[in-house]
Amino acid sequence: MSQKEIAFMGRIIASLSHEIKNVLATIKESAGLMEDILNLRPETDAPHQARLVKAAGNIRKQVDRGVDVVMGLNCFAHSMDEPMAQIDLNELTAQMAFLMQRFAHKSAIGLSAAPYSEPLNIVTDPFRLEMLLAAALDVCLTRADKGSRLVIQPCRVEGRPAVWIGAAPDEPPDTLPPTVAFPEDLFALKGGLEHLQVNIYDCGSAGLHGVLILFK
Amino acid sequence: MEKKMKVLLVDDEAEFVQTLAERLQIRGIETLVAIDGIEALRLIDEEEPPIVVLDVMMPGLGGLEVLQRLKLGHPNIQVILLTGHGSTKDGIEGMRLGGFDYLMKPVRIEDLMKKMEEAYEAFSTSSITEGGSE
Repeated sequence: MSQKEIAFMGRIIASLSHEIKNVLATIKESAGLMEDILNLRPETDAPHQARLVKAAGNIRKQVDRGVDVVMGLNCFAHSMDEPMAQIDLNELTAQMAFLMQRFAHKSAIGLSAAPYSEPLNIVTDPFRLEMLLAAALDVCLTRADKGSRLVIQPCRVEGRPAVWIGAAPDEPPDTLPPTVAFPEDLFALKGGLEHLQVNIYDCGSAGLHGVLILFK
Repeated sequence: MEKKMKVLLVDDEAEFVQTLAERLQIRGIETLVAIDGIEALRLIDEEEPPIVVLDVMMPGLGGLEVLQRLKLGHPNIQVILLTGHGSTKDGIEGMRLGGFDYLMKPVRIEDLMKKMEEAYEAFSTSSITEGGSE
């Protein structure tokens, strides 16, 4: 897909997700107003007050859930804005854990992000890096045992920024693992890896082949 | 008797802003509503509310432009921006232009109330300081 096409797709998704958020905001305030009005009166004056308050509360909770989803979609859309941009790997890995949550859930595997102790900024192609991280997570989800927990975590290895995906309670390696180049099923885009200026390492541990993506 | 806090709510989503106004009224706050930037500036000149809650993303005159214009004539008015995007970029730009703070939309009413109280305190302090220096 050309950068022009990616940017177009991102623009449309960002615009629509913004509109959905406006709809959710109005539903949320309407449910909140219902709760406010019901709570203005003593219990005895309003029939079914408790049930109505509960129903309005459920609407609010589901709206909050919807807002989280739309925010994720909106952030994803904005990753398509520019072919090169500065990103914080802490933010990006948290976003990836959120975007891939449903896939992890389907595989009965837990997935969470763990931030690095400080902001870890790199300049890269945000959309293609997200594709790479999603592909790496897919591989790990396929290979991990059901019931296990995957962690996606930014780190520094030998001074260079990296993203590690592995199984808790393992931690990112301090030195580069000996195995270079993760199998090709990870990311069928050799040019993509060159474009992103990354090397991929297989840091296997018991029951799982972890992945280390190192930024050159 | 303590005077009611007055706030102008500005958002092009009419149903959203009307409902929010009703919820604030229940909490004892006097509200004014505008659904575009031009109407907002007119109400600011006429009513001089101490606080404005302003949506950043509006068609026509956008929130940041409204903020810039209102600050020229009414520097003490405190503006809370509502940003709709996943990014905080607009909110930060709004604060650079003199906004009091920003909140992500949709906002929890408790968070908005708290922010409005802080903004009202900032308005009162800046008004006293200005009055004292004259």
